Amino acid sequence: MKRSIISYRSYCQLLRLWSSKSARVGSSSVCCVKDNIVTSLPACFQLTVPPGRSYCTSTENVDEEEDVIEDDIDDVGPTIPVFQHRTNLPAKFRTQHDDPTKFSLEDVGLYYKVSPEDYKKYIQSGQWPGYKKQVKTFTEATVMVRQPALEVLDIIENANYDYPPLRLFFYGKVGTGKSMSLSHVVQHCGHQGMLTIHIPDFNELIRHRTSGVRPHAPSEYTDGLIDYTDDALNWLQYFKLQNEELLKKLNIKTTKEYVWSARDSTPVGSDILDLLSFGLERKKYSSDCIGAMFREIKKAANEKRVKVLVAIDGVNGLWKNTTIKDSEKKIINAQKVSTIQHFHKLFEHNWSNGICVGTLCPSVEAINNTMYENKMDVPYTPQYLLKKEGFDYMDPFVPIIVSEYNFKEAHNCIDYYIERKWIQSPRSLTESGKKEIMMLANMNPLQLMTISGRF
Amino acid sequence: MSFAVQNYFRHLKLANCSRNEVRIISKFFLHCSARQRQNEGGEKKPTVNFVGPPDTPKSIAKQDLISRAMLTYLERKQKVDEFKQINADEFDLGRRHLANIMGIEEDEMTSEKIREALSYLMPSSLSNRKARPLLEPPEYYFPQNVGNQFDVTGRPYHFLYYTYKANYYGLMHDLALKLETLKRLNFGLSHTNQEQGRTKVGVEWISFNKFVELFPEEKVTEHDYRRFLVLVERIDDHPLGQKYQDFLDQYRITLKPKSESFKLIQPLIDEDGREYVKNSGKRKTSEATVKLFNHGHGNININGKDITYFKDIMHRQAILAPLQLCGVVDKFDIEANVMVSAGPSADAGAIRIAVAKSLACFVPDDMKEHLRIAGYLTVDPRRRERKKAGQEGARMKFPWKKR
Amino acid sequence: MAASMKNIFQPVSRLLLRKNPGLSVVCTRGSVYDQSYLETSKTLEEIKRPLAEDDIRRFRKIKAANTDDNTFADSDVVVGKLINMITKCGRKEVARDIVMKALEYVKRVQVEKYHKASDEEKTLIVLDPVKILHQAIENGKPLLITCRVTMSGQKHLVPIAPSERRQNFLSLKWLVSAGGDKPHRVRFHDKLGQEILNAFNEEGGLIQRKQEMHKICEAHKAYAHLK
Repeated sequence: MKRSIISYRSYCQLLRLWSSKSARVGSSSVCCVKDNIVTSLPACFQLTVPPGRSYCTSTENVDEEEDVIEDDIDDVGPTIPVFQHRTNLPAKFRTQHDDPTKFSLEDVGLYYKVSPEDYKKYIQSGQWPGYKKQVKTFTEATVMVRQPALEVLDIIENANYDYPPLRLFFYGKVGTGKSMSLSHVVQHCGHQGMLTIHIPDFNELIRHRTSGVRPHAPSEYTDGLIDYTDDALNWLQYFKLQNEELLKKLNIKTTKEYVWSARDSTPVGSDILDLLSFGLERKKYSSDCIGAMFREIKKAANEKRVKVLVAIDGVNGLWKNTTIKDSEKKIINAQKVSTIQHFHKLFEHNWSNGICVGTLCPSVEAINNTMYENKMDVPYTPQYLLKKEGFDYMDPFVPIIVSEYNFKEAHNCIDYYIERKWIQSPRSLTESGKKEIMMLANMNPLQLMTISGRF
Repeated sequence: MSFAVQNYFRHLKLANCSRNEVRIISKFFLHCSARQRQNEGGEKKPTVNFVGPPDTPKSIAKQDLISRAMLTYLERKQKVDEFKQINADEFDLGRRHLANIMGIEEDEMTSEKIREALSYLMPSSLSNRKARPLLEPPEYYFPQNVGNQFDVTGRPYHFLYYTYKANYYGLMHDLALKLETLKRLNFGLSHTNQEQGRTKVGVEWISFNKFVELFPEEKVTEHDYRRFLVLVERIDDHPLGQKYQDFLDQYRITLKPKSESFKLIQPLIDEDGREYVKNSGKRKTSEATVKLFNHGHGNININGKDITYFKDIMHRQAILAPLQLCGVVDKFDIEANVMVSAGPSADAGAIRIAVAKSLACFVPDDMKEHLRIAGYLTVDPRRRERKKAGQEGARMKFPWKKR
Repeated sequence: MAASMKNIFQPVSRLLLRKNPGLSVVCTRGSVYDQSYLETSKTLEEIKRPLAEDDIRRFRKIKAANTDDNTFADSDVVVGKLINMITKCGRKEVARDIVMKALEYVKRVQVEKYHKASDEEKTLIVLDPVKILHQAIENGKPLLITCRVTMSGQKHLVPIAPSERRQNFLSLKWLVSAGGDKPHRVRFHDKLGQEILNAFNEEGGLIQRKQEMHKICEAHKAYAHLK
């Protein structure tokens, strides 16, 4: 075309132009745009479109009379080809409301928007690093509603809270959306008033750090264990972010006196928030603070004052080796780290009115493991990841599989990327082009994101 | 004629005869005197090729006139004739034995029946047909003689005999003369008479192998062949070259379009009633067999795994490339089995060629051309280049040091 | 061609000027393919265009395509050239990764700008990274380059106009070397993406290099008659 595409007012206008041209010409053919030359491909490259699909990817219904299209485009040499015959229906990939507590099975496969405060609280940490970049480029954070998450939420609603806590674990291949589903569950429960104890990413507690050995110290309370000082402090900040308002309403008081040292102690009957703030100030005692807090929370839950949700992303890391060495040069297991032991004790059977959710993560298994170069090669079944010790401990649990996208979800995903201008090439805006991207990525959500960056 | 001969004939008063007559008479005399000597049983004298005064006796027996070249030729020919006779006898013997064994009469034993009998009695699994047991008439093994190339006096018939490639150089001279005539005709004419170059596509000069067959018993090299091509193309290019087109047509071949030479395979039917085509492909040392199912949904199965058998996106695109070119990515199913693997790229190349070959059986004609032009239907002949002695690798040399 | 071969092919030199050179002219040293094989077409347009009656591709055999050649929507000739220039020691996957990440970086920056811009500005922003790459290389092509000439024992730099092929090559090469410049802590693919965007806006390392070359040519203007 003699004019470049940039001179048009909007992308949707272009499409409307082309569709009006096609109505005049009476033919619909697929085009391939290259620089300023436009050629039309022969009929064998056409494909039929199901009638409900269209290519205007704005969610507003705009009338055709509103646009004033200049008519001097007629002097372009060859006829401008048209993608396909356009209907006036917008592409549907968003839910009608953004409240995470009110989704049903009809909303499966659609995106809902997350407000910036919720994003920081529940969803930001723990995802794969590309998601953060995506939120920055698209200037909005969205999460897809998926069927495994809705199943878990259903179980949480109908569970019997008189019994010890149920255990529900997500498992699946790499990149299928386990962490996302978990954060959706956490957000839902947070909105409903449950206390959320959430480790967003277990990788960080175990992995090898090139910047130096993880700051640790021998434990104050028990002999033979070590503390993670910095990590406990960071986690307490995260916990505060998530649950501060709730804790202020609840007024849980301590039932025991905690003596930290000769000078510091918290007396009986003080608020839990005091424990929290003490842990935030004094790095030395922060992991013991965590233990103390959990003890109080468990008691309060037993007395039916609080409902608790425990969510750990990467449960199979509870039995892995860390990279820290003893004074005798032996590697320390995660069972010997007191910060991690506190979370481990939450899975015991001595309290009620709570639920434990988690994901079984193959990438946690692949850390410091010479057998697997790539995390894609690791088998993803629960029994393999938990190994004998873990499986015996966790035994009565409900595994929920998170599989790859089906056709509808993948289609919506690609439509969303088109609307956000992530997919640029004109050939992939057609049905056949979308199918190609889906086949190349094998319907895997992670790979869909990386591959569609090339198109 | 020489001075001596004229002197001799002067007393015969033949001075007024023409040259030819004198020649004939002198020959007659020589012949008679030779005859006389033979009858007398005269001594042999050394051969001299010119005729001297009548006193000097000349022996002009047939043997003396023959040159050394002819002598060797005759000796060789005798040996060859003997050899041929022996072989012909052996062939006949063998043929009769075979007829006896197989129970066929001698007269009905043709060369086809001989071959059948041998492949039945002495089966062999060698891949080269010429290495298997053969019984053929001796013309099959030994080249036939072109015949004498000398006349009685030892002079060769062809004026270019001593170049060892008489027919080839004869052809070249012929062509050169033709070119010169064209140039002479064109001299003085204006350049506007020239036609455009007649570049016909689909018509080629004969190949090197066929060219060599035109000149049996002559060692024509590739260099000679190239010089021939230069000359012939020059005549063709000349504005007045129309004159010799018939002559040049002997050396031309019309090519068939490559699209006609494709082997179509009929699709088979599975146990479940689905149509499929089976094909194999190779690349480097990888081998793969592929079944392409019609009316599919885009399912891919490689050695039991999904398309995640390939981790790199490029290899996944390579497998689907022939399907994408025809726009039918989600209309076929692929079931591939890689038997020998030489790495992911080689596997991808092997599967791609098999998919393209199978796809060409389902697809209309112009799509086949597209597949061929894109290069998906040719086998990749490239292999790893060997390392050479005195070098670091195939091309890399050791560092050059001045001292 | 070796010097010895020159004598053989002297009568043949006029045939080199033809469009369809005969078999006698083309010499292939070290190639596995015969002389008669033709190159494949790489882009979808060339393949789908119907063949003319006298097109030579009807009658000749055609070489096999590389594993890298396909007609998907993300295959581009210029991008392929850039990938080839970045490969070292035959590790092409690494180079491909780098280039794709660089183009992704370009896309991210532009898309973010697009979403934050007002409606009027939206039409002016180019979003396709391949188009930006094409334009950046156009901007980086030098119009004059220098060439060494020895006259009477002295070596002079003479400005000449390069062919389009040479311009293309130099632009790409300077882009790659600008991507490896300081600061060294930044990843190569990020720096490359930044350089592409800068060249699109007529600033940055690539344009600087081109202008330096132009300055040298200006300085040596006096020797232009030597070529």
